Amino acid sequence: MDPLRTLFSDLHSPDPSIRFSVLSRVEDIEWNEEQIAFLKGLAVQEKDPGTRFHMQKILARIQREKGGSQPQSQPQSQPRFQPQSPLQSKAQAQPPSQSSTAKDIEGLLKNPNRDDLSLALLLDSVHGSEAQLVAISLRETTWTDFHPEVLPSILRFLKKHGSYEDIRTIENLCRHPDPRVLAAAVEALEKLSPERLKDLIVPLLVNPSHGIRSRAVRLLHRWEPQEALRHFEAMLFSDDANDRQAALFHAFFFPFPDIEPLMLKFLGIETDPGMIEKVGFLFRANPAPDEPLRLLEAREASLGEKKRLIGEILAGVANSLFQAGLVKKRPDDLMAELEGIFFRRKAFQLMESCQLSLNSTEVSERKEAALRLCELVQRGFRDAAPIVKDFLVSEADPFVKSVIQGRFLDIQSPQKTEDYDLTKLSVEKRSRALAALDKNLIKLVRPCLPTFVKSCSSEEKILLMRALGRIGDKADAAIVQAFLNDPDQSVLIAAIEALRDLNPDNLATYLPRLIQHPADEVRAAAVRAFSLFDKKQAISLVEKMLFSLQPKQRGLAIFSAGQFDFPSVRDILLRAIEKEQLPENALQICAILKANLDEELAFSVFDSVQSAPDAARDSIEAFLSEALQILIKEGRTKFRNSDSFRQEAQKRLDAERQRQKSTQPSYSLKNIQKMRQQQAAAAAPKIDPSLVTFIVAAFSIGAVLTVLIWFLFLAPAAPVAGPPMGQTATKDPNVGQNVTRNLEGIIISVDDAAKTVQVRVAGEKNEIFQIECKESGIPLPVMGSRFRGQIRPKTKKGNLILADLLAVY
Amino acid sequence: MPKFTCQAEVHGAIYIIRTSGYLDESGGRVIVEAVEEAFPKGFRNFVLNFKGSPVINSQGIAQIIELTEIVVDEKKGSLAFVGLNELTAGVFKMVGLLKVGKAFPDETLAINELKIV
Repeated sequence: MDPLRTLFSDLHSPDPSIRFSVLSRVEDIEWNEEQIAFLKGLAVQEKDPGTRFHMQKILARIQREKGGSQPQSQPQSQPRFQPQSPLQSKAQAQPPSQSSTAKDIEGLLKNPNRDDLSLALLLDSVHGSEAQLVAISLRETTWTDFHPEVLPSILRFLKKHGSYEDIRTIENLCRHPDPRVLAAAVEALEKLSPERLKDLIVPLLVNPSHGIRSRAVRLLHRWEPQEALRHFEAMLFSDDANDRQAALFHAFFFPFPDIEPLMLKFLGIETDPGMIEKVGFLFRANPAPDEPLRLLEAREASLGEKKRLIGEILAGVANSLFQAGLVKKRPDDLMAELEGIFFRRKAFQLMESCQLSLNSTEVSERKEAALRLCELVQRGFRDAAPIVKDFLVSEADPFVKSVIQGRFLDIQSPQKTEDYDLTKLSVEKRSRALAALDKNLIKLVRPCLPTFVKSCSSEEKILLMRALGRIGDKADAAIVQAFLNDPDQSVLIAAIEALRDLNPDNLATYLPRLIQHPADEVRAAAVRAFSLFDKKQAISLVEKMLFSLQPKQRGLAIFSAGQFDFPSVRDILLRAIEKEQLPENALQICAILKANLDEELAFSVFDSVQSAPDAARDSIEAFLSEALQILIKEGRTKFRNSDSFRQEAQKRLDAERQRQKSTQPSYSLKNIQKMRQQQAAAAAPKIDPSLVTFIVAAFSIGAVLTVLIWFLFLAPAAPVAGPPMGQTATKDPNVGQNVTRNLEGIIISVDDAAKTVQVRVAGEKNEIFQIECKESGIPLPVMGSRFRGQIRPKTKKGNLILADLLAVY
Repeated sequence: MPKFTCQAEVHGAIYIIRTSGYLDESGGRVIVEAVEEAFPKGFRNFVLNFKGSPVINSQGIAQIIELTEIVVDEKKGSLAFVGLNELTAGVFKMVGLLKVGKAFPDETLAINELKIV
């Protein structure tokens, strides 16, 4: 990672204010021949006259410093500047003498046919003793009328040598339409009178230039750090890559602890290697002992180039920690230790989640959780063994008990077989052999696999794939891939999970289809794998499931979210826990939070307890108490007891509520976003037919995949047009798959066994709705009570409309 | 964690500050204080040697930016940086610190440069 190369990459930014800022940052460095050649090339290509002017100025000065006497050639496209004035020759050929510079500048300022490049070069070389003379000359001139290309040089001079007398003039330029002039004016005013910028913050925040907006956010941080961080976050996660670039450009100027969680989330989601590299510098310069574990999580949740880059950042942070004396372990030792901790922590999180599922009323869920625990035991996490043993004692279902007992026995005491040609073994021996496969035995089994997989049972396929996922290598991916078309959904899930471990690239082409699979479990497994390719879309899919009305879908979404890197899903999990009606699901979320606990997260959980539904509040409250005990015991919070923590948390919550209630300042993110939307609407261009051609041509396979996923899963359901009046009852426009209805009425009967309620709605039609509540997980209301909620009508029988419950409120 | 320390040495009209340890916000403040102590004694030219501080964090950088503004813009003095490694040199370039002070591989070169100024 070459920092200068990283910085130079911003010279390709489409935003002239960013390119200008880069030039300002690098212009005084020592340039090597390669960099000079690079800059010369850029200057020739540069279309923005102001930026080109700045590049030529730098090149002219480099040449002067190198002792060259030849002027920089002007590109043909730039006739405005004098081809070569004597003054320019002087400015470029040698450092100006101190006594004459002020005089030369004065002469240029008075000359209406002045050469702006010479003026810019001379202003850069003014010595301190002459600065005041030059400043006076400038004040005597209406320099603000000069050509915009030279204004940044004048502003830069005034930033250094100006005084209160220049403030008003500079302030006026803070609304200049040229982003380079505006940026330079803001920079100068920031130095001379930063308080004056307060009044300008709103126009700066809505400026069309990304670079100006990000600079404004940085300025806002001086006065309103919390609001500035909201703006920073919005830019960092904008769909517009230029916004993200601009946010990163100024990221170094924020206190890193304030932006660290955002940066981790960014690292998890961003796919642009250049931006990932830039974030890397921030992490390396701001090492913290907790950081490598978080970066490890981000690395493990990524693939290919991104994985390599995050690995480099991780190694850099480990090195910085050692160099800074923040850890005593050498980087390699630290990495080895952390990898062990990371995988153990992930295993404990999974163990806790499975343990909760063992208490489920659903037999299949218990079986699946017990099998996952067996898998953990087989992968060497012995702590899972006592959990399985306890489960075998308490499990009531004889089938589940016998399956788990058999599997557990095979793992604990693997039976050696004489023959590893699976096609020749009995069913029982085959299962045992498959369950007991390890790195050595798999070599003996491989030759028979192509024949074996053609005739084996679903149960055997699953065993084989779990074994390959655990101990196989890339070459085994082809065998697993064949099962991605299997009609058995359990086989399909096992195949997805195994391929995710063996070679995720083999999964890529199948994912669009698997994400559409009718079975929730398959979809959830596919989404987990999809997160390796497109984290942003995968998060959207998980989010959609997480807020589903079906508790089972929500449960699967929680399990999937647990497999993502935590910073990527932290916020949606916290939102989900505030809505979750089922204590079981709320506890599953808590298990994920527990594995990623820190003080800030505990504050968020405190907030969640206040707004959680009654049904789950006690569970979340119990988790919060446990979390506080852990943090206090392990010294990971500044609070000495949970009471003092709760007092502070309540204070913060009250302050936030108050902030939301009070009128938002004009520069608040909400107001600025509104203003920008209005600006965008006013400036919306008519559709150019050539643009349509461009869009069609620009769409790649990846984009098609994204669109497909959007329309199939993320887009809101399209309204269904109702049939004409007078058709049969089942064709009622208010009854149908995609029709939802908000309902208010009185509950006239409750059927506990069928989990249905009947609601009479007052009105002319005197309709009665029989609402099925079984799938909702919501406790049945009391007869005679008022009902308010959303339903989906299915069929109509006379006055009785059968419907599914979607939500109560 | 080793404590951040700062050592000063006078070389003619040049004030040399050598840092040691992780340079964070408090470390940055120590440097600012060291420089401010030198102003009443008439010093305007400074060599900051960061060889003993291989890691400088964002807040440490913010302190150094503030310091450069005081030295270069307010006091019209000059600054030279010594002992920057790949990471710190990269960060200095990224935030524009090398606009206001030049980087040198060793103190002798830095002192010679500041003498000319």
